[in-house]
Amino acid sequence: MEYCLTVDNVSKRYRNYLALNGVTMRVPKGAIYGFIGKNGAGKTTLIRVICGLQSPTSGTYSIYGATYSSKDIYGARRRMGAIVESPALYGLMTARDNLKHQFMLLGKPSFDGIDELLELVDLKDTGKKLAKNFSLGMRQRLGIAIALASDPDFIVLDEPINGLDPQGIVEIRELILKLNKERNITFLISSHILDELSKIATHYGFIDNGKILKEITSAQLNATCQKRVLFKVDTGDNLCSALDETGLEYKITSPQEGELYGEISISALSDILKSHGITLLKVSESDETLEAYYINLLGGSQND
Amino acid sequence: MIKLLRANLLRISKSVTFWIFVALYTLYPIIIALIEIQTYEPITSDKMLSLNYGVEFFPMQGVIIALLCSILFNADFSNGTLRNKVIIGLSRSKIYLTNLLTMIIISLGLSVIYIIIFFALGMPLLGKFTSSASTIIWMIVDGSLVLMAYSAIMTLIVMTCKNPIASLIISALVITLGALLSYYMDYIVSIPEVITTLSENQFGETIWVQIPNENAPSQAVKAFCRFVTDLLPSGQSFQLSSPGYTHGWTMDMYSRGGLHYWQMALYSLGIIGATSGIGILIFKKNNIK
Repeated sequence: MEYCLTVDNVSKRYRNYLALNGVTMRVPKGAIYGFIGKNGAGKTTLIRVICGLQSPTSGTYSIYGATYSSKDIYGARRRMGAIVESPALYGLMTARDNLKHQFMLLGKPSFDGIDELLELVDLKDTGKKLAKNFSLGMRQRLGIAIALASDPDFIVLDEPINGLDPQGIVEIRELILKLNKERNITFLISSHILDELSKIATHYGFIDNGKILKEITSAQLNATCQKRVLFKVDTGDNLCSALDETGLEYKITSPQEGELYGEISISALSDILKSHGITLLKVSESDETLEAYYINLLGGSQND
Repeated sequence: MIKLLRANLLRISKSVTFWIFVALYTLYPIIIALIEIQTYEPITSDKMLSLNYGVEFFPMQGVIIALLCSILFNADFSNGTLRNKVIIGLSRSKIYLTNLLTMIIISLGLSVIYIIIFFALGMPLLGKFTSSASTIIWMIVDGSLVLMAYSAIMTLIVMTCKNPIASLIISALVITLGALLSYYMDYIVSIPEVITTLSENQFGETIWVQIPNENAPSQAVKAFCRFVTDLLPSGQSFQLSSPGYTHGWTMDMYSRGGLHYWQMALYSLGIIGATSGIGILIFKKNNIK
């Protein structure tokens, strides 16, 4: 698998505080990588490090194969865009002028493409409105447009939907999916809003206390986070043969209780059990989400 | 660096504060010329030109450069726009040097505005220069280098001190302390080695006599103080705009060898080089948020 970002054993220390403790992660090309962790876990610190804003205390990372300490990193960074913490804009300039400024920084010979970018992020009609007067959603979209100015292959977004209203969240989500699908841009997105992240991410990385707890693909997560049906019956006799008949994986947790993994209607389950002389007393569904997975993972790491 | 410079200039051209400073700096020589022509003994053209580089002990140009530098480049830290430059792979040395170059262009640009208005309005009203052409040229060269040195010092402060308020306070302190130090050093240099006092001669008559000044510092101390005055931009600024230029006096303000023009030029270049080197080293290692 090809990776656009590889991080190997990166640590970052601020005086007595170890913000990153030997982080190793891989962001595959074309992925939407959801970077998950609580406040202070080290998400923004790692993002700052890979964006070149801060140097790692130890360890190494490379972007498109260029190690951070090599001269090639400057070229690799040109294939990258990022919004770290909040969109970095000049408040006294319009959306167009902010993009002009970014085009100049990039050394682009002309301003062709600014209209297209403004249209893409739905800011074409902002005219002479200064960026300082933009809503948070507009600022976020302009930030993404600035990040897109270099035609990047890899975009890093730090908490891109923090503080946005529901409409703004949907707009950003759709924009990310569109860019990922149409332009094959790889995204690394840190977020607290796990439900939202679960709608777009193809890969996940979980960080806590400056350490990566786990990296997992969305397919693996779905397999792990499958639906469960928890049930209680009057007797455990013939229970195994009845559950075999459902065709689903199951686990018997006590003589009269068990869990079925997968989807099955309550009436179907009841009928199968009845045919084996078992009466269904109680049933409930458990849909394990990304959030539950994360909390379990975090609980596990804290117990270690 | 050219692309960075173009981007900086675009941003600055959109800054209202910058244009306010340009307007004020345009009015400054006009007001001087119009006020002076109405006085009984107006200043010379030499003096008016020198006011482009300082107002005697008040290093006005230093204050203006500090304010502009702080307003224009602190925004990069407070808006986070500095991040945009680093993320796209621009080296920190280039970012630093471009900001320095931008500040030098602005300070020299303001100085050019003053000079244009001086030649268009000031000189026709106040008359020809009383000093030699070489003296005037040296004044412009040294004065421009002082402005560049101020730009380099202020860029160092703003680019290495990540807190905008702290950088403004440090800039103000540097300018104030520089001006006070220059004032004090100049005071020591100007202490006469002999003083005139009243004394009685052998016939009992009261006469004026010159006696050695016991409070006069040694030559070595004076030389050191003169060196400090020549070295500091505030000291140079003071020397270039000192009262020695007024009323047709010669440029020989100290009446002890005149201004050290080429030394002052070298010191300014040294300050620009040293502050830029230190600034780049610190800025490269700084964590950017």
